Amino acid sequence: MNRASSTRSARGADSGVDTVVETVTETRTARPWNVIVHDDPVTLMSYVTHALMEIFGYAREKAHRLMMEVHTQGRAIVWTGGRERAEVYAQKLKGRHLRTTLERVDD
Amino acid sequence: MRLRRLPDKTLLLSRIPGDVADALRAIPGLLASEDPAVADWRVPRTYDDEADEADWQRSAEPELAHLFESRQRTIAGDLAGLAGRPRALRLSIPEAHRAAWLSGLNAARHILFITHGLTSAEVEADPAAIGAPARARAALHLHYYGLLQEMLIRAAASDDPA
Repeated sequence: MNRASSTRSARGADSGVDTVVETVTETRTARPWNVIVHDDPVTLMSYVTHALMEIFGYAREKAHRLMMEVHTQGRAIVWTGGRERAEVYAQKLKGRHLRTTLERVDD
Repeated sequence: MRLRRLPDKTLLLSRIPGDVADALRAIPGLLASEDPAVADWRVPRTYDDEADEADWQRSAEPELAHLFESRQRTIAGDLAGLAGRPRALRLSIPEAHRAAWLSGLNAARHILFITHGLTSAEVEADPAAIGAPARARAALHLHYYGLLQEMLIRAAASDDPA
């Protein structure tokens, strides 16, 4: 589901304009994405910890810390990286009915 | 209610009280809920950007819908084996079905919460303190599902290598 675009104008690759466009496109594509889990009033804390351990292979301590961040802060970044993998993780989290969003990392 | 792990890692729930059995039997129906609010809850937004969200809905949501339907069938199949004398019912959950049960129970809790308009405080409270019988019963079932989730998570943790 990687939607990286390959923008290239008809003016040719050796023009300054093209160079700028390509640089911007590559930057947008390469910029990492955050996988964010949000708090809800129903899901058990132990279930969140268990899911983070299973999906990401995190040690119990790290999964517990992230779960507590979700619980106390309302949300936590549970993983950051390439968009394709971020979407795979989001799908797995949503498959367990954990509220999950994806946000591109700001500059 | 007791939980025992068989040599093949199947979990055997025994001495299931009748009211807990009723709550368990209600799960497939809850998971099949067509309540519009439940439908919205099943497919929450992933992206802020509308185009990204539309792509996501097109590509990921059908797979998720298939997963949820498959999970519902798995749980219904296991519940078909709910057997035994009244007040001493047994239920087997094969190891391969544990993940489906864990997530299905989470979904069932959410769906009870949504369809009965429960509040966060009521989820934490003693169900007996909730005045309306239907809501009190929903909160009680929500607690039963949570209890079973905790039992399944503990069983999974005991499977982990030391």
